[in-house]
Amino acid sequence: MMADQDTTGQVVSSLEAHVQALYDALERAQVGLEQALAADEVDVEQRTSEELTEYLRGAFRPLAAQLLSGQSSGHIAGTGALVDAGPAASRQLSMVWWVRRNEVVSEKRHNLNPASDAFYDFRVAPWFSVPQRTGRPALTGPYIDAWGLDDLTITAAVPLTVKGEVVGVVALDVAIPQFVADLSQELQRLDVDAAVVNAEQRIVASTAPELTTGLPLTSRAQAAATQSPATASYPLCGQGWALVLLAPEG
Amino acid sequence: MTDVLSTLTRDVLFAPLDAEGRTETVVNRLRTAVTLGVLADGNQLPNEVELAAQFNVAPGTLREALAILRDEGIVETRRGRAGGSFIRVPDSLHVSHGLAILRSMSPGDLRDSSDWRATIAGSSAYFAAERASDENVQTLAALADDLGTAPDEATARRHDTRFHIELAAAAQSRRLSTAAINLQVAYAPVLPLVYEAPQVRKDVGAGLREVAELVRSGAADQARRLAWEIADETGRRLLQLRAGPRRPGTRGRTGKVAK
Repeated sequence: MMADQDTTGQVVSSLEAHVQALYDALERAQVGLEQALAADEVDVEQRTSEELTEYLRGAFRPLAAQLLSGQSSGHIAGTGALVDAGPAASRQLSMVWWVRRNEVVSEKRHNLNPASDAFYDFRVAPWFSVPQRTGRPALTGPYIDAWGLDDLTITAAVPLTVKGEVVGVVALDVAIPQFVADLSQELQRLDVDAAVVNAEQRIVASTAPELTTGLPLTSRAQAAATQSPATASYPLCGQGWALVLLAPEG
Repeated sequence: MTDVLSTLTRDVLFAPLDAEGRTETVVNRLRTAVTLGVLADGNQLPNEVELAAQFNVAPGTLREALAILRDEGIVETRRGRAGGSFIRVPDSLHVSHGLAILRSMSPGDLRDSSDWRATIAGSSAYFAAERASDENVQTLAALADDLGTAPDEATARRHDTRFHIELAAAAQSRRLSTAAINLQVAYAPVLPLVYEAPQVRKDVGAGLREVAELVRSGAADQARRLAWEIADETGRRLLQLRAGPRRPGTRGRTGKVAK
């Protein structure tokens, strides 16, 4: 049995609304921080990493509190601002981050010492490098964030622009359990098994029992040999995510 | 003690000790934090009272530990307005700390820890071969190459542990990646001992590069086997190092690693 087009269209809209809500929250924080940086005439190139971190901590704290306790905050587990700025020879990393655990918002410190075995090198993460390079938003994951959250997460990020130049990002971590449960509930409305996959065909949410969050739709070993279980695909938002309908098993 | 959260490595390093927190254990934890760069050269040591509370040891025990680290040249105490205890990293630290940790483990402990590391590495490689992203594979290949060409034993240890933690992350498993990070604290300090030899760095780097390629091609069983064998070989080397120079006529190397 095929899913009827009306229902599919409705499900696509609801799924997109969930993703859009993340970006709406993120953009409020982005605008707030950019306005503060402009009003205080902060020259990110001239400040040391410690000075800039201290500034970001003060400026972003109320925005983080708002993001982690406001509307649609149930889908957000953490948020912060990250900067990689300065002259090429002496670029400096600054990062401030807050998380919500058991309804309490706390700051979280990361290891930004490049000489450390536990260095959290966010410059190489696509959610940081893509907005910094292209000025466009990014949506990365599900992935295991080693050195950071140390758990499965999805990270959404938008560029942080100062005086017309991208100096870093404002980002948020999705609260996977709640987010996935809500997407799965939307998928239940279809009368075939279905999944939300990211740009690299990795499962975000699905109604197929074995396709849990984080797994590839087809494993690396089978990628070449087997046909994809997807029978139809509907793009969601501009980040490469899609709703795919799955062939019945067997 | 504070409402600021930190990363898992730091949490593991500064976790409260068991009921009987001994000076030696505190010394080893702090020295490990310094060798891993979690406490970096020039950093000021956290407040003594808070640190003792965090480790769940008596302030006297912590002071004893700091006195030992001061003698070793790892902690430097300055007086005056800008005074306090600061971290220093002597060049010889990685090997001397490796030896101290190695001697603190019984051969049975060492064998058990090596088996556990091989198990985590093998299982991570198996699931990574099914689930890794192309980006994971690229990172793994780069870390393996960096290990092969590492200029010194501390850099080699760093690339080795980062490779294994990335492998566990590529397996999309929180539990495997947590286990790999715990091993970074419990096991990585002894790795510089095997990586003093540039040839070992080169060989292990080449082996892990092959693991990355097996992950890339989705060869789960082969990836598991090779990742397991490489970790097992490191375990054998460490057991031999722990035993020290052998009398003539006794068994040198054991089993299939005999050369």
